[in-house]
Amino acid sequence: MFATLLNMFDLNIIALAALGSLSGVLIGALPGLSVTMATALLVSLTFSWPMEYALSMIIGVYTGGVFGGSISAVLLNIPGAPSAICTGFDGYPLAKQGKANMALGLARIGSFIGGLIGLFFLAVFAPPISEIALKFGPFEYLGLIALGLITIGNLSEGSFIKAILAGLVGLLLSTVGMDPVHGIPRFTFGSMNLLSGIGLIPSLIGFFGLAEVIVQMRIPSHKQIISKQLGSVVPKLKTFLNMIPLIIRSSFIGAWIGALPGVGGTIASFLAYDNAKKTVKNPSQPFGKGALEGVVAPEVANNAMIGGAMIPLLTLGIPGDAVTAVMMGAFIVHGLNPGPLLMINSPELFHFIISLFLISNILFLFIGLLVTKYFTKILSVRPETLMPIVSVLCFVGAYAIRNSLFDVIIMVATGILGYFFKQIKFPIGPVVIGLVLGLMADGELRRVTMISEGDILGTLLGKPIAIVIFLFALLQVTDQFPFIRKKRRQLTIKIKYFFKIKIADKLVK
Amino acid sequence: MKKISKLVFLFTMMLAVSIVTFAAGQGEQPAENYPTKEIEAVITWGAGGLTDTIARNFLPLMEERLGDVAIVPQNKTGASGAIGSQYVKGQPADGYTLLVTTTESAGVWNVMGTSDLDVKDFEPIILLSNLIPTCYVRADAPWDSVEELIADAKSRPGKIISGYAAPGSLGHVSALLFSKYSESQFNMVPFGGGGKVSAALLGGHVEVAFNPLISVMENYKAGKIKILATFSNETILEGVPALGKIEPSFSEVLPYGVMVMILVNKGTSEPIKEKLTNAALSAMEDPKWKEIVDKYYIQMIGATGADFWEKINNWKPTTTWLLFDAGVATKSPADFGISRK
Repeated sequence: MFATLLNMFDLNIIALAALGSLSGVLIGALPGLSVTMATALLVSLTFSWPMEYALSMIIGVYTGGVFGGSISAVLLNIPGAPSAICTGFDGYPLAKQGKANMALGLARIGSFIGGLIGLFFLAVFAPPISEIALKFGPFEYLGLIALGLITIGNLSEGSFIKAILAGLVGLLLSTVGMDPVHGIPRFTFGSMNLLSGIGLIPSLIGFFGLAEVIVQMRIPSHKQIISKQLGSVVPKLKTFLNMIPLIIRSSFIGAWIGALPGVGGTIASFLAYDNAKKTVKNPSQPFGKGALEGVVAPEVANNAMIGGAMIPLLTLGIPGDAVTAVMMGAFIVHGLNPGPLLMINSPELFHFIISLFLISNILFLFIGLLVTKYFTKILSVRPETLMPIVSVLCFVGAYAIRNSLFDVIIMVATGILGYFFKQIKFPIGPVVIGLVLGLMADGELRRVTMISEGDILGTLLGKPIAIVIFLFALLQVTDQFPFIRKKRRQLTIKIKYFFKIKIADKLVK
Repeated sequence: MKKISKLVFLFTMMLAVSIVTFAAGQGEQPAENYPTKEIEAVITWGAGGLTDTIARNFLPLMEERLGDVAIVPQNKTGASGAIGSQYVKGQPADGYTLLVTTTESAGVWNVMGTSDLDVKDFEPIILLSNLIPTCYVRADAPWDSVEELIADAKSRPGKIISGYAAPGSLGHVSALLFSKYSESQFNMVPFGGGGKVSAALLGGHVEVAFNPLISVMENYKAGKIKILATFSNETILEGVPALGKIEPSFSEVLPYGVMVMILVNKGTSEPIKEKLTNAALSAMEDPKWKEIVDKYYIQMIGATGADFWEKINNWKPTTTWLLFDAGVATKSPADFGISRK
């Protein structure tokens, strides 16, 4: 490992990783330009390069890109990527309070630490984690998605009923398109464009971006607040020390979700945000109004997800998300076949990849600092100048995803819908969660019924991991009722007490 | 006076601009000069997928042979590739827009009810390559050969779980093909993606799956899975039997696979098509392409003209009727003049 690290002192590799990081941060920050797209382009561009150079650039883009998504989420309330949705929940209020630099500084360092912890899991525990991840089948996935859906109730900023309704609207929107099992068109009204459903990214840009533009444009110019105060870019060490338990929890969630093929960073950041909201008793400000913890948790999780997502790729040859799928293509083009034999036949390569991730993480810590310093300046632009520019970005971003005009229509439609939602204080977060999880839930639920041939409960009994996940999900719901929560807590204390006595007995003996 | 001269100036400028744009619009130069501007290549599947990888490795080699213009690959995905094809259909038939798509999309839209478009609405440049699926199981599965698997599936119909990516995908049609010609039944479950199928198989949630060689090779080498057969008549991989050899009932429909093709809009002039076809044929000889072919376990085809249509017309009845009989396709292939083989 150290020998490979020493060999890395090839300036080209570091320069390319830095270039990759920089472009990753920029691409990640622009909604509609996705890291997947950037890596796919890089794969063909770097085809004739030596493998080391190609990999360093691709890995740089990947790590930089995941962090980049938080920049636009904090500054403009437009998540640059779905995994940055939660970062905006508290990041944007912080930016409005003139603490944009603080929010981005936390996001950057959180991403860095999350990235390192994820990498640690990859470097040390890759084979056992991949073994456990394989135990996750449709039942376990359905349980995880149920957990994700339950976070909706926890995301309500005002009315609980509104949050649930919003989640249902999202679920309804997710049913549009070809059904995942038989390919039968649902709610497409004969439109070919709707066959692939309501695009997640165009609706993100609409719901968050365009809707915000319309809201801002309606505020008379003398009432608009421009924050000249941006705060320090480097957060205080003390702020971080207090968050260590949260950071560790979030990175566990991120790395773990990342290791499950096909789940992805979006759910990782949802669950981390939800966890932060439940476990942090005294946030710096209430969640949803600018809690620093609300920025750190999802950012730690979505970067820890990277290390996790590399686990199935490098140990099984199975890509965990869209970017790792592209990366697998890159590996193969360069004559390297990721799979169970990679760590056995060429451990030096495995270490090389880990070292590259390490270097890219360190690089974006500094590159991110430079970039955010300039990016936050846009907050001092008057909204009547800034908002038209943002709306142009919304249109370009929506078009760029698939080069499709239809996505622009989706973006405008969701933008207008989002504006009215904001007017009636109908939360948008749950709508998007419903949209993200709906299609997955649909697929998993039907897989569960198909595999169990209808006998869901009977088959569930044979799956201990799934039972634990479902019980956990059930607890989240029952804990909403005070009398059940009280009973449950008493029981937990009793159980803990019982075990303590047992352990004490053993120690005495 | 000043105002008038300004107006005159403005008018002349507008005239100049419109002449320039008009001239640019008159870009239809004689076919001998083709190509004079960059060529757009629309890939109907997503970035990073197998089709995309094949296209992005092959197009630059074609580009080298077409002279001093660039071929710019673009992914236009959605509706199993129908969105991108619709776009190409709407472009002028001048050879400046290529369509890179696969048989599992363009060949089945009609019967799946996805789109009115069909391969017939375009003209072929080349049928590039074929990815042949394999039938594979976990290393600790009770079956060591296709015969054993079939016998077991026959003794308990619909009980063995088989996984595939999505309706109409290669894995799905292969599973249907396998079940039809071996006269056995499986519990076929879609997993929403090839990677998820592999993970589910390794984790034991799925018992048998069908995927191209490239996606199963590494786990095969590591001894985590057993490949029972390849969907071909000749042996492709040493030690793995060809399905056509062990089960003769299959041989008429084999080799089966997903084929990547490059098309242009209908009505493109002959000399342009010829130039593109020649460039593609010559690119197939490139050592760089052969390297890709080896790495991805791709079967080269290189069929053009009448040969192209013969291969497509051979492929279509098998797949469309399979999908229709399984209740996946909503429209009968007979409505589109495809008769049972």
